[in-house]
Amino acid sequence: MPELVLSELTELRYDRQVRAFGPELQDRLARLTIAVVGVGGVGSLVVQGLACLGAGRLLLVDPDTVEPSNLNRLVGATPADAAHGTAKVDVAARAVAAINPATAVSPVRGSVTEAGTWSRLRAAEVIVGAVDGHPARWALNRLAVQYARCYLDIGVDLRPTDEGVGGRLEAGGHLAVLRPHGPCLLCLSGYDPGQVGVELDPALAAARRTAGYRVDDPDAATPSVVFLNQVLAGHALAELVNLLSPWRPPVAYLLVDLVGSTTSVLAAERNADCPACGPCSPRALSDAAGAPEFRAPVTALLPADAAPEA
Amino acid sequence: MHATLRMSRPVWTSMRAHLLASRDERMAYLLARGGRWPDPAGAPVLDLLVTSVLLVPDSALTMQTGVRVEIDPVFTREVLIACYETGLSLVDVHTHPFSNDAVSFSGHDVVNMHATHADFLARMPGTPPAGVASLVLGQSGVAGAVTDPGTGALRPLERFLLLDDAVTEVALCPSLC
Repeated sequence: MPELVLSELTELRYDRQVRAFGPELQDRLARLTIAVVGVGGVGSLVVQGLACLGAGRLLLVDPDTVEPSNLNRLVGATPADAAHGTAKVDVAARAVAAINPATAVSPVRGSVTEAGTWSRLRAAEVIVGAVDGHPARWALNRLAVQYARCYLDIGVDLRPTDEGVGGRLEAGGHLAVLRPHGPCLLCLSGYDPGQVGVELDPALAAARRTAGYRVDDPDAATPSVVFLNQVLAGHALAELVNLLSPWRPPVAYLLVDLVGSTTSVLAAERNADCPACGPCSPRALSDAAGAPEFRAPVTALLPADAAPEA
Repeated sequence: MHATLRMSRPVWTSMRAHLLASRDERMAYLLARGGRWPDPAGAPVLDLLVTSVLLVPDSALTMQTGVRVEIDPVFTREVLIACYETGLSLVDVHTHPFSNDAVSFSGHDVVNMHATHADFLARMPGTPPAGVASLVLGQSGVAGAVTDPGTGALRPLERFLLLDDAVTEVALCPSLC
């Protein structure tokens, strides 16, 4: 086979999807900055898919490093990465470079609940969130509402039923697709505002556990398997393409039940009084609203009998 | 500097239909929230997110023909005060109803933009970030120009995005020589 010049390679690379979606999708993808926040099991699959699709620029955000237990699902990660503690964003950037050198990648090793990282995400026109916990979802929702960004929130849920490990499983997940004029993640009950404050303050969370108040531990190891992640990542990529080049009715909220082999699309409505996107919110205020406060409002959230000692 | 204008597709569609319904030039003001940040490569970005549209009534125009439009300065003054008091950015829009294909700013438009954009930026407080831009609409094309708040240079608007169930980009005509 004769050596292909770059332009020919680029044209051939996208040939099969151009036959389905037309050349306009390639142009839109090439001009877009897409942020993927959380490049773990689900996020790394999304990144892989975006590189294959031809995204022009990716902003990749994750604070974590590769651990041996990630290797069953983290795209591009090697045992050497686990041994050396390579940053997950660097693994994802390396994977993109291998798949599609034309995709520019900006890796950011940080958390979206840090003001500096949050502010850098303003540059993304579409945000894909593959994050754990309430604070990260709150922060991304705030960004999407404040800057009128499209935000796709992915969540997976894999756990044994009461029969215990080796028995039946609950396996599923959701995709919430938030558009600038539609409902926000809080309208869809996508996070718990009370938990945001607790999880943002580790000392407060520890105090509540000590006092007997149940607090989910966002750092606790949970079951995870690649095929469930692939299903959710695939739905997210499909809807992201649908945002840029509509090929089906828009999806607002999608539920996957892998046990029942069902996918359900749900309608979503804005809550007119939503504190996150309603009349008193920073909706569409852009820079005028500034960055949110990332510290927990301790006094408002702490039960009197669970106050940590000074 | 890269400049992007974003607004709701239904609002854009309605505004465009109204403005181009007349054989005489018409005007509107878009009020927008401004954002300034570096893109991932470090280049400065000015983002104008339209939140309101003011259709200028024909009765507020002191001159209105097929090739020229002038607005009552009292009307504009009220708009400028609103921008100042609420930290809003401003995009003025007018039509060239006889442009059937590509559309571009006239020499008179460019002279006017230099003056009005500089005046707007000089009057607005530094925070929140404010921007000023202009659009000209033809029957099938749109052109845009924006003044770089950092350098004061008049530049073509680079991107115009419409927000709805889908995010689409309006192809902009080359606007400035």
